[in-house]
Amino acid sequence: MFATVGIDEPIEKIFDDWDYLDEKVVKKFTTWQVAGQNIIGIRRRTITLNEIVDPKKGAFNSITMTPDGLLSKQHKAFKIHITPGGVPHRVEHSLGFWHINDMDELYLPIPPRPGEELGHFIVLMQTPTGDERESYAQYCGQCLTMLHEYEYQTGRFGLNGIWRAEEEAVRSYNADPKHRECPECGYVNPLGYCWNVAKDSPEQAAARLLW
Amino acid sequence: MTAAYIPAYDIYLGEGDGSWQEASRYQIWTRKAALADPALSVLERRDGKVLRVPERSRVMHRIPGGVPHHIEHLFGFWRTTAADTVFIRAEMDDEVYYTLIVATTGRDVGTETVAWYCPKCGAELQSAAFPAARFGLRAFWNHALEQARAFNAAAARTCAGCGTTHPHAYGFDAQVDRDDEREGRALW
Repeated sequence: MFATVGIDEPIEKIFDDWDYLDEKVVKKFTTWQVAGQNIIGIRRRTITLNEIVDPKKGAFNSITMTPDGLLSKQHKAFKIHITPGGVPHRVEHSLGFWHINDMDELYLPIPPRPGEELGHFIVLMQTPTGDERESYAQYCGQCLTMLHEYEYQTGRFGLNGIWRAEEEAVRSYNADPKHRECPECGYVNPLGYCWNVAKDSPEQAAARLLW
Repeated sequence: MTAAYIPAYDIYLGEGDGSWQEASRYQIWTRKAALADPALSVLERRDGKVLRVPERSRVMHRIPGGVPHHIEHLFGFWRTTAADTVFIRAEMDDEVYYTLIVATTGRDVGTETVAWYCPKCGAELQSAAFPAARFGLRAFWNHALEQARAFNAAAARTCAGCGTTHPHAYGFDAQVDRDDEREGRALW
């Protein structure tokens, strides 16, 4: 219908990244990438209608902290999950801390194309600006008392600093055993660890298996 | 007034009544359609020209804020949002899952525009701005349907420049299509 006003050139010649799931483009989203007004990450995982499995970390199940206790979520293909800003959340064996983000986080798992092994796990969040921030927190595994919190002002200092902040949060928590001993119930909590398994010390790798 | 504390939202693609959902600061629409159904293709206006986003078994495409876009057979007008819209298309067996996500905060909902352009020469035929930040998303879709019906009833459908008549406009919800709107939905 719009033939006379249509653009004849292939879209690839006009926009390099018109399809974020294109094999040549998707690699840019391995960690986080600013895409227009949003920040997008795309992880390659086994994604079926029943479960999601990360090749390095195992089953992908998230936990959200609510006023009524912990809420476990089983993720599966074609199920959008949104964690609203401000809600502490973590993923077992993937995040060795509780992430508290001022921005909403949206997950959308897409199963693999026919003949492919891994699907696309899309994570989307809005770009923090101004005073918007995130923090990496530790709560007692027994009584949920907050033990430690490291804050990063993402809106002010930018996305590039989050990995260093995450590392520093884990390092400072693990540095003193007193941080891990709950002042309320006395429970000694396991070590924290980062998202990237390549950063694990042997002790952190052992902690990753625990929680 | 204190807002309810909602620790998580779950939306299953293709389930529900097919309307837009508002979850925290996201506006989300999904549909599961038969692969044989007419494709919901994204068209964008770029410098007055029309760009078609190709269909693939998997597509994740960002429609930047400020770019007029039309999704064939889904809504019969060109929509311009202040916020980016993310379009995702995923085929699975003999079905297609479509998702539209508008991630928006209070400051960038802004103004939405509904417009029509001549399909032959590209001239603007009619447009109307809507303060979505003030009235909300549900009101926007009602406004768009009203505008579509006004467009169908007006001489504006015929281009003053080249004389081409634009097909009938239609709203978002096919359930409320009138005969002329149903005809328009099938065409573009």
